[in-house]
Amino acid sequence: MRNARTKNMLGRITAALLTALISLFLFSFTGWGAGLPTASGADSETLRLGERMYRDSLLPSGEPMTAFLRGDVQVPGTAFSCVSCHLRSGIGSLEGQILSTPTNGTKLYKPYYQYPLPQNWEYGKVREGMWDMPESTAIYRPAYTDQTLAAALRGGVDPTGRELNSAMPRYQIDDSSMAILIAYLKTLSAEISPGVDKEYKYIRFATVVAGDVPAEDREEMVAMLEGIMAHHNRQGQIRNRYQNMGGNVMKPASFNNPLFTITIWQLTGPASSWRAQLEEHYRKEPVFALLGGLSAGDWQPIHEFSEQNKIPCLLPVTDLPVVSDTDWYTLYFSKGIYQEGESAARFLALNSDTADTGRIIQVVEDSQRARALANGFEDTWRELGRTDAPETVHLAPGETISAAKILSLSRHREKRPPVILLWTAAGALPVLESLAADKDSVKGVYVSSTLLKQELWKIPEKARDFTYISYPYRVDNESDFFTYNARSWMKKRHIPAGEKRISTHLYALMNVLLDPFRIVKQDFNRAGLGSGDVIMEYQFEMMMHVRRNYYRDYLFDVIGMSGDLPSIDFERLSFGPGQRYLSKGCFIVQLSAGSKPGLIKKSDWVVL
Amino acid sequence: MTRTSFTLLTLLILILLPLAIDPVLAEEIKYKRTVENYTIPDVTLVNQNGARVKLKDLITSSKPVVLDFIYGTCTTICPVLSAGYTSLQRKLGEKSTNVHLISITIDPEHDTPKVMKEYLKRYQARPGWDFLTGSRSDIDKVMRAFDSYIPNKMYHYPVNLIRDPKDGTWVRILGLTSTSEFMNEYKKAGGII
Repeated sequence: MRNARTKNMLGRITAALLTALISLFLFSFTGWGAGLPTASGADSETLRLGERMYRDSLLPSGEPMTAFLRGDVQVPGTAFSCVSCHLRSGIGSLEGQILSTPTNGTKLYKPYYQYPLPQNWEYGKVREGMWDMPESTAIYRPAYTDQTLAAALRGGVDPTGRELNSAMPRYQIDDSSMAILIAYLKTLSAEISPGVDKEYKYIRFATVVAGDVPAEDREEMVAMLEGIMAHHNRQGQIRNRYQNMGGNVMKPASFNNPLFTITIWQLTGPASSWRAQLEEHYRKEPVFALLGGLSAGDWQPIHEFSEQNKIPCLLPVTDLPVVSDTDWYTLYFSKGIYQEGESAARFLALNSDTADTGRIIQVVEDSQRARALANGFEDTWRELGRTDAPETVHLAPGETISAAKILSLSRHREKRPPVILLWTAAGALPVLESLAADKDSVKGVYVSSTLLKQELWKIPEKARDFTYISYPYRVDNESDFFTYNARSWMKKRHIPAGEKRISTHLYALMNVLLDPFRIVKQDFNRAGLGSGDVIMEYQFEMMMHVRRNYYRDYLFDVIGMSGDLPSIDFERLSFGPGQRYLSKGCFIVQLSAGSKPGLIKKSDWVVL
Repeated sequence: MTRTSFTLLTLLILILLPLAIDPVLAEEIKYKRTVENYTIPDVTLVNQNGARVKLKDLITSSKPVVLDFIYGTCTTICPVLSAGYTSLQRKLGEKSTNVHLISITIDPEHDTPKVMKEYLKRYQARPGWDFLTGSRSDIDKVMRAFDSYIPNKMYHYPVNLIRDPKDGTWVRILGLTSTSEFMNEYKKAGGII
């Protein structure tokens, strides 16, 4: 009896899938309605304007789109762009208890089927007949046409006449602009991204090692990345085996758990030649995304390669990322050493008002790191509305500065002791030593732990009470459960954990990369049963996360919806749509007394 | 029952179980309204201008106060909540400062004064609407005090709190309201349009 039912049900699902396929096939030949451009026929200008409508809520004329919410309330279109809910890929979002449905053409232009939910569902109790399958599988929502889609966007009614959720604004869009938006939606997430095998058996990644990176750093990173790949692949193989147990009927190719492969792209020679080498690697071997990465210089050439080719780069280990509010394709651990300058500025502003800061003397050695620190400080200082800009001394290559010179600068013009930003590694300790002999001569000295490295621990005892150190890592001992587990995981796989924290940083990929590829998002179970008795196909699709939606933009959309994460190195990693720097904090600390000093927190993790 | 169909059913159960969210197209649930008393925690937060403000002083005023929890890069709920604020301010016009609208971030690490200021600009906020951030521990205290603790911002749910200046009680609105419903609740709690 049950067998017959199951077969019956399978037949119906097959029929439904066939109908979907046939309608897709038919649609591809019937065109998209009078006078509207087709997806393939849309020119690049149309797509640019459509993208601007989708992302920025600007009509082709440049005017902001007008939207109404809940009937009569006009809302700023700038706050209700399509992208803000349906996200960059158009696959939609799930936040709290609201599901924003897919808006990419391939999904809009196919019907959704409904499957009544078994009634009397109660957690932990199996009731007679509760898993019986429905008697019929009906279309919940037919495929949209250009006309019904336009009606939905304007009037908030779907092709069946059902009203859309009132969180969905109703937009006032004229016919020609509507055609442009629809043309864009048809190209949105229309094709699976490169690097994904056609049968979904594997996904290819690469990691970039740029320039002359120390061999032990490279080894540590590669060991960690390979460990993560192996971890994913082992689980994927188990899941694939389990799914195959069901006789394979329920499992189209897209349900495969693709296994991951990774190769190393080693860049050599001067940084100016890296871009061409990256293009060449990519041409030979297209990848879905770049993972981790190390560079002997800054990350800019690789950042630009990712940005312009729209290739995600997840978590390169670098002190020198590109700091940008708008760039999309590189996800960094933090703003790097720039963030230390930022925190120093916020801490100083918080602990002194304009009247008593006195002069700020900034010493910048000739290195990219020191310049990034200075930029971080200056940008933030300005942002805080401070007009008393630091007075900067740029050191020549190899030049060190003496305390006498700094003090002569300060005594020269003003009586009040200055604040010194000592963005230099060489010669920093002697400067602190001399200043300690004449404590009233300075109000405070700021140094960076990243720049000082191990010298940090040699800060002279007498200078410790006026030396403030930017420290972008956790300060407490690592006794928590997460760290213990993570370290055990690494130890078991013989992954080295060096001073530069390369592997401990990259442990975050266990979540950042692997979670989006797991089947069910954990918080789906939290909302309780919904009011509808209908399960729609797009919910299945949402559940699949990146599975079946192997679009690079969607990977970022899913990462943006992740919850906060613990980390071995950082106090906290946090996410949000469009957020590209996971660790937002940096402590300002001082050294405690004694020959084996500890760190004393002088600030919160995030200084506001 | 054969092994194959058992596996199939198990698979189906696994697929069906988590589908417990409200489909957007399904009928919407009405919001839930309760009247509450809250003890406002003694914390100092930072507003969109970088100014430090005592939450208690801000709230215990003779004006009605409306409070919600949002964050700058939120996708779905916050835009709707904030649109409610925008439309209330529009109705008030010149008198927008007659009511104090307060949004408190649940993503304090990302929502710096700069981010909050831009957010308010995007919603065409007028004077009378403050967006507050603070240390993680202070924000946690505030969320707990208003029975709105959200350990992880992805589990965010919509709450609007309206304080009646006459007796200091709060109307708690759980769920998304329509604008007219929001207005009605606001008026009932002593708000003047």
